[in-house]
Amino acid sequence: MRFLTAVAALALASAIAPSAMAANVASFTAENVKAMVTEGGGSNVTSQTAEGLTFVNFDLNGLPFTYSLQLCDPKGKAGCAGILMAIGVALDQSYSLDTLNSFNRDIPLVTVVQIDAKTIAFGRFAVAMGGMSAENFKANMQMVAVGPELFVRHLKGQVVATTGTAGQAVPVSATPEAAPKAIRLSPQAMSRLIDEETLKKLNVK
Amino acid sequence: MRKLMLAAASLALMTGLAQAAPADDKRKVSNPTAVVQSITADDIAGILREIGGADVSISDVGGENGEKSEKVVSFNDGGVPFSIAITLCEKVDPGKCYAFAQLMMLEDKGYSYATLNTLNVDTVTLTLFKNEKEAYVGLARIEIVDGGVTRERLANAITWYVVEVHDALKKLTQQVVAGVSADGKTKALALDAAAPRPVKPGPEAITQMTNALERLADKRPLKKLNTK
Repeated sequence: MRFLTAVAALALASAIAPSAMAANVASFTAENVKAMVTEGGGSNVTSQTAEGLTFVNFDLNGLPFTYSLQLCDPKGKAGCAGILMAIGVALDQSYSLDTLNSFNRDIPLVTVVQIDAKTIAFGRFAVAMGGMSAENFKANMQMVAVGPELFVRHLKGQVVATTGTAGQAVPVSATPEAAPKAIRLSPQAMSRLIDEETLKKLNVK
Repeated sequence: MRKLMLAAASLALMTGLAQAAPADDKRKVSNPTAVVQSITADDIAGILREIGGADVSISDVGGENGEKSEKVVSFNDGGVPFSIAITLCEKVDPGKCYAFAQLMMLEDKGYSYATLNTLNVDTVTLTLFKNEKEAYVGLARIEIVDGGVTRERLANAITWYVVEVHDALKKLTQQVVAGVSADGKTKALALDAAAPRPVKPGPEAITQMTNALERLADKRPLKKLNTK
């Protein structure tokens, strides 16, 4: 909880109320995810079913997040073992995969991937199997929540050498002129962020 | 060994879904429902031994120039060396650690950024990245125990990571790569059927990962993004 508080200070103004430390979340359902997200400061929390998956959409500090429940019990009784937490960012300019790689290298709390030339996504997969606390869920939630802002900060720290008029090396910031815009990923985009074959190999779905 | 881990993964996943008792006690972690709220190297090493990790050992990494050293648990699975660094220690609560960083490294054989991006999409829990300077590719995953997770979930998280690394190595085995030959000429793109060569992470690679997390705990709020 204290680490959560420290990390939350990165980007979140809303405090998360401490709750019991029981690791009693053994699977994910739309209902318990919506409850934890709400407790974690999310607003406009809704769920939907599309592409054969259940999605939970919400806003957190003005950013639109989408979570998809994964590794679900086909009979629907035991809930889902995993959850993909993600947010998209629309770009006014494309960033090289080299830049995305450097973010993943330096800050592997959340993975950034390129969906297309103008869209990237930040994602983190969490598993409940075995049992986690709601507080731990929210700690994972914060890892994704800070992703876009960490990326912007990472870009500001990225410099590339160029040549000035006098022939000297001039550092040039990779910071974009306009801030990237966070977007809610569609069910179709979310489906592209996870590979069905990988899940099958894990003998679950 | 690898088969054990793969089997354990399937078992763990099924257990998590169906809440069924594992059929093979040898793969069952002890005190599965015990809640872990801060982690130690001994905790991780103990779990690894219980679920079948080989050559499990604990070492201190770093500590030069007066900096604090870090506890790293090393183990082997199917001939692949894995490292788990205990991190986010002391920063918040003295004597407690709230996260661990899993890292497996292999020689960079010219894997393209596009290949790594594809694998970052295809894998579930891994983050793949290149370190151009040191010429390696890292397959990483940071787990947080803050707030509390069960020992069984810790075992599942480690097992899943191991399974996914093996799967990613398979995918990397058949990648088209380019490179520079010994005579300095650029080699043509070719299918590289040779298996990726794992390397054991050095102190720099370990601390790069753990420092990223440690630094975050110090940062002030950042400017918010525009939203649609």
